[in-house]
Amino acid sequence: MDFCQHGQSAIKYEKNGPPLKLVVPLSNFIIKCEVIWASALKEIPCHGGKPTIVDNVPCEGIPSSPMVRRIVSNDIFGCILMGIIKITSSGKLQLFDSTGSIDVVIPDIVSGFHCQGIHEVKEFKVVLEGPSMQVESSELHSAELLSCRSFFDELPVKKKISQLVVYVVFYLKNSTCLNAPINLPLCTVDKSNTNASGIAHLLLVTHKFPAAKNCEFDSDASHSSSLFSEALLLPYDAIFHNEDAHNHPSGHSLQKLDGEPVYLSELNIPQLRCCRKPNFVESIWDSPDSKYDLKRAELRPVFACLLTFGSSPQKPHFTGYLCSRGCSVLENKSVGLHPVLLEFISDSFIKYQSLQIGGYYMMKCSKECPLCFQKVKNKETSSKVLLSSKTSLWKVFFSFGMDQHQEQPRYQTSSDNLIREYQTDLVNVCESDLEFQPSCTLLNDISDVHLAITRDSMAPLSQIDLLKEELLNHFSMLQEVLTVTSFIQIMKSDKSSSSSHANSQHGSLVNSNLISIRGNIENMHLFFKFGSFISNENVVHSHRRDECICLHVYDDQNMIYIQGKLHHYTYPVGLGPGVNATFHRVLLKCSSDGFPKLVLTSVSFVVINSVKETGFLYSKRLTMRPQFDRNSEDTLNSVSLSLISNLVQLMDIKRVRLLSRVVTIHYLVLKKLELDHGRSGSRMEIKMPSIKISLAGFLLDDGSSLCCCWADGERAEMLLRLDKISCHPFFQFGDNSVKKSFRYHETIGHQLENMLRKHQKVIMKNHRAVPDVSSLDFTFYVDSSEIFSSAEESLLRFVISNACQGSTFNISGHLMDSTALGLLDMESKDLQDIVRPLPNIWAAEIQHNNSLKQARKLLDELSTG
Amino acid sequence: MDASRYAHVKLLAADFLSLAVSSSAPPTISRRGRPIYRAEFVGVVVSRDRRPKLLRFLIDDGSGCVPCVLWLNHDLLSKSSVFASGDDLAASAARDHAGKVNLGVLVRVRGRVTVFRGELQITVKDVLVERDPNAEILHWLQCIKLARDCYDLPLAAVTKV
Repeated sequence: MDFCQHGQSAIKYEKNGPPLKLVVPLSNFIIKCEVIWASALKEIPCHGGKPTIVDNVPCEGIPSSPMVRRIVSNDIFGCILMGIIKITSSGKLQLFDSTGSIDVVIPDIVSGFHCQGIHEVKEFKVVLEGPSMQVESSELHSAELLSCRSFFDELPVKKKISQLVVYVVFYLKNSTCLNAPINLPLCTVDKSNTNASGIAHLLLVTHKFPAAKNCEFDSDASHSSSLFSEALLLPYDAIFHNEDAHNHPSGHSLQKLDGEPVYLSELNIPQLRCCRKPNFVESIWDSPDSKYDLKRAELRPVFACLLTFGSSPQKPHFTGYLCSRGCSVLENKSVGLHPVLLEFISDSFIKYQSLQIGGYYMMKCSKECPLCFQKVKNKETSSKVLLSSKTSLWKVFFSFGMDQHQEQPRYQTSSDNLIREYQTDLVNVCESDLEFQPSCTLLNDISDVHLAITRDSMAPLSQIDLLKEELLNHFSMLQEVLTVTSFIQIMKSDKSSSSSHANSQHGSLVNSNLISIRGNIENMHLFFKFGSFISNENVVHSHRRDECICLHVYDDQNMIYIQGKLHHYTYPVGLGPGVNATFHRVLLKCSSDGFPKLVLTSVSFVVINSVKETGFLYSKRLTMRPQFDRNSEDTLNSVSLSLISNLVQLMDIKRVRLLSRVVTIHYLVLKKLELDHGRSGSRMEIKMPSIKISLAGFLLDDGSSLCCCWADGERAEMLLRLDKISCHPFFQFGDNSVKKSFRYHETIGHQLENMLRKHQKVIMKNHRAVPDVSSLDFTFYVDSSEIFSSAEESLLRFVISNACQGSTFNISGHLMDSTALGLLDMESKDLQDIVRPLPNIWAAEIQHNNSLKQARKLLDELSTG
Repeated sequence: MDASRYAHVKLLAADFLSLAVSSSAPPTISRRGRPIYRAEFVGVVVSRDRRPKLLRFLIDDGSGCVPCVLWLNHDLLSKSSVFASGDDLAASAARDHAGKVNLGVLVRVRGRVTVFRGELQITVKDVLVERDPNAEILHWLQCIKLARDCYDLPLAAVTKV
């Protein structure tokens, strides 16, 4: 480490020698981040001093400024960060110094990380997140913030922009602990925890429970509550001998009992603090006809193994056996797996932080080990294990089939890499994304220990393959992580077989209630939910306002909403738009509209896989639903707004834009959607019924006059508000039955599908000139010999009535003259007589109105005269 | 057909309360000589009076309060008529609209401009809850724009179709 002499700036050093970097106080560093943030916001195209991008909230959320994220490299700052790594009671990692603290994300942190010293971070990425509201530069410090003079001028420097979130992402391998032992520069293992002699239990982590929200602001974890995780105790124990590093497995530590092929382990020596005295047979493979009663053998030595800490040959490594407990590997499937609740007390929160769902871990047996007691009791019930900083918990990296006398395990063998096969499928990120989870290429580096299963006479290769297969089978017991598309496909397949869905996958999904799903977050916003609650006096109060969060999660094709209450638990650092995340144990809840909702509960755990920059024009992507299509919205808004009363004077203008509402519908042609058109496969909206709108004529009102708007396909669906109501129930006997529970076949979407399945084509004409919804002038025609029932008529009337009660649309279209009108498939002369006197437009693009954006535009227009 | 007659004129409450009412029967309601038949308002519900046959409520848009009445008497109409199905639908829709009218909620209301005991009111056709508070500001601005570009123009200049 080089120190800069007082009074000499880093710039002077650059001229003569290698550039030196300043170690900066964290408070100054955060202020510098604010300055960079303010300048980054200026890159966003502005309109009248304010960002033009406005968050479009298509669901019931509160519109807000869109979130902007910038990822800044350490080169921009030209400084070094230094501090103590601590973990808060909410499980967040932070870097502390005497002036402040900053959240950090360390992708390659391991369970054995044990740092009591000062950490120096030279290579890092800073993530800046916040709403895209411009910051007055006068509010910020203008002087050079990262100079020696500024460090002493004003201390402590306070953060100015409260809404800005700053956190640092760095790898342990790119940092050093200044007062760590030379052989452990990364503090990856505690010195006392590198002795594997004894028994170690094998665990598969199945879930992590999030920290409770009330612990979030408690930066000192010393007096806080516990954090929890769930694991499966696998039916394997590893026994390692107290031998020198380079010795190979031998029977020296085992004492053979007279007359029987049974060995007594010497592992119960007091120094090892092991509570057990295991007996085990030498080999069951070579002596299947042995007269020895196998039930007497508590453990069976199946595989010789070599355990090393890290990949360096200088690191200690141990030889021993991986033993199957109770039954052979062949017999063992889910039998013998015990659920275990891991409780992390405050001094072991770092272990919780590094714990990965789906990871294999090894926990060293200790005196009064609860896992051993559970085995003794042989109960299937789950048990709780308390983990402190003294508990040795190691993340295991397996390799298989190395030769018994091979000096070093084959760490890099791709075919034998167990975890790699699982993780490759789990995370798929772009190169430009900043990864929060360790990438596949780093898996060797982020494991605490390597366990090499060696090949010897006791365990031939075929048996090792069985072990590998068995370990892989454990992943099938983990909750499958669905993609958004696969989730929607399952739900759709259930819709298509709703009448007989007892054995469908949806049925199984609903039955399981909790699912895991991953995807990219496009939008995150707050909304308020009103509900009832019970006070201390056991009085039920209504209208309690819960602040909720709504996440719009998408993959390449589809989007879903995941909602949850904000106060339930602590959300991970970085959660927001532009994030790839995995949501574990999300509640699949049947809502009142009959369609399942995904809800984050207090046990749901969110894992951030990667983040990327957002809020800039170049980060636009193609979106899946017309109402979300921002590219389309920009095109639409490029057309100037017109009043219907002026349309007649604008006939020479090709395209017009209107802000208007649907008053009534004059003409509607519905057809059955043929599945071979491929539309159902590409449908972006799960709630949309499989119907085709060939033509629809809407009467629009913008306050100045009326016009007729013609549309087909998805634009007509949008004006009809089918996306809003297709999943709602419809009862032809009025709303007395609305409160009843209902099934999918009672929804409007399904009933429309049924109607068109029956009639193929339905035409509705409204001959009434006065634009009020009335049953008087509706005429229905069908393209079949079947009778158009009163229930079907009521259904269509309801759809039309509902369409006339919608909100304002932003509609862009082409004006139609009489020639264009004649091309429409309108058979009725009466109808033509009604619509011909009105201005007619053909809808090209339709969006839900963005009030804020339109208000700004209108204000500009009015203020400029 | 005079299309502008069926359009819902966007008005502020202050503007609405100053509309001229003729003494003829039925009374004609006009603004600067232009007849007003239907109107649209955006405001916060500040008063609500539910009765068996109707719901009376006031919406406040910052410039004044607009009295509104939503009829709920569709069930009393003849069930034997051939239009019973349509009445059911209208009754159901009216109940839905009434359910949306809660104190403190920002709503968009459309309806016919009527006179009751000499006082102007809106006979509500539909009620839409506005979740976006910016909708109120947009409505103000639209009222100003429409007044400038449409309502305040001489009647002859307004296109009749």
